[in-house]
Amino acid sequence: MKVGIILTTDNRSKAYIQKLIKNNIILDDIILMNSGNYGKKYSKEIIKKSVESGFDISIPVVKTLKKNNLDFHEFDFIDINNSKLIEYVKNSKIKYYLFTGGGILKKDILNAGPKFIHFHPGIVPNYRGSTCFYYSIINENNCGVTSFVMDEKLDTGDIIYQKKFLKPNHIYIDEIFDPFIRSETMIDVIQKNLINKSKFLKQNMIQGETYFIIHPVLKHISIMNCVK
Amino acid sequence: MNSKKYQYNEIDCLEFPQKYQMSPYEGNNFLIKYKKSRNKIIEEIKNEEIDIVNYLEENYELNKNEYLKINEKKCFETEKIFEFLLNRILKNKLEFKYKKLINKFISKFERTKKIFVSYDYNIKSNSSNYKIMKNYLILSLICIKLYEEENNLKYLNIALKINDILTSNFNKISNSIDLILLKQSLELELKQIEILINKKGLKII
Repeated sequence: MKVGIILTTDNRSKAYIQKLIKNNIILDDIILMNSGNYGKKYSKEIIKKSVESGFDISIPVVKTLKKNNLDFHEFDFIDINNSKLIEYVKNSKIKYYLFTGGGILKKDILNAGPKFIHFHPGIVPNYRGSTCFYYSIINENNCGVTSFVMDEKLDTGDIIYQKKFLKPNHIYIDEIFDPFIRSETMIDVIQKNLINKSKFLKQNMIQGETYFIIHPVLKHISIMNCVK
Repeated sequence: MNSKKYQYNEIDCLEFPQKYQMSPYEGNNFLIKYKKSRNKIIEEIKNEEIDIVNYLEENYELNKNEYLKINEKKCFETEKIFEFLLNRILKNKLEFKYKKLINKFISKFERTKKIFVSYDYNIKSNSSNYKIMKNYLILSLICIKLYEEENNLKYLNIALKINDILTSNFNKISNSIDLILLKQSLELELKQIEILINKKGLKII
């Protein structure tokens, strides 16, 4: 079964591609959506923390790909629903693409042929929606990631794998902890060959909770709870 | 760069909605700024009180009839429905169908950051007016009361966002009952944040 990945220029993609390389995992197709914006510069402290988490936040995705002589198809936009990308994946022989970001998948891309796998930073069904790790850290002092096959609804797809993580001991949750937990889960899914096994679990659609972007007051309580 | 003031209600949040995406971490000082900002508004409101339960009871039948319009697939006034729902919460009579309706409004609010004066039975707005503060006040109280009961952070999160809107529009709230409701909502919000901070063993110096 052929598996590819769609990368962007964000920190999540940096963690995904660097960890795939570190673990000698070769995927069947690599797409890079590259708007040319390589993001901000990071302090030495953040870079150090990212390296401790298994990836270097200061290295752009395109640089990692070129340095490791990896073939990739590059688009000059970051939009998962762009017609050029849809055409490309339609003609690919890939069964599953690992999704890293680039918007909410609409019907056209979902029906293009390949399926898309998301690494959502929350244990569903209890943590669906946005910024779930902050809520989970307040509620349970830990958080988790669910890998699932994406469908038209929000975080309701069939579950491939779930992994729990202890809360971090630093404040860089958006920049480092989020990419760290997602990429660790991605490596588990691939190394355990869970995509090929195709034993996916249907979600309980009646139970669960959907969260929205966390308010800065609660975000501060969550982060302060990590470093107290 | 860290702002000296609590920055999420400095400009009119109805005209320029806050997205809250990737908000920066500022440490302990941020929570102090937040508390100061809320307390400043509380202090500016006269020290009057109303019994919310009695206040809502006065229009209960009228509000209930408005709620029944949803089943009749008619349009309804948001304020009356919200008062009806708050009444049900305060009287411990919140049925599953009422909570489902509250959650629909919350999802709607999160997408638009606005509450319109009236909606149809599918909770689609059929008015362009979103500037009636009373609607925000009652939904804020609904969310805080639900948080008190269930400890579900989803509700406290929405209350914080609605109260940012209300405090950013403080100079537009002149009705004395609205002001008292705002005071109650802010006090309850602060109380719940304080409880949460203590529960997590955090110290705000």
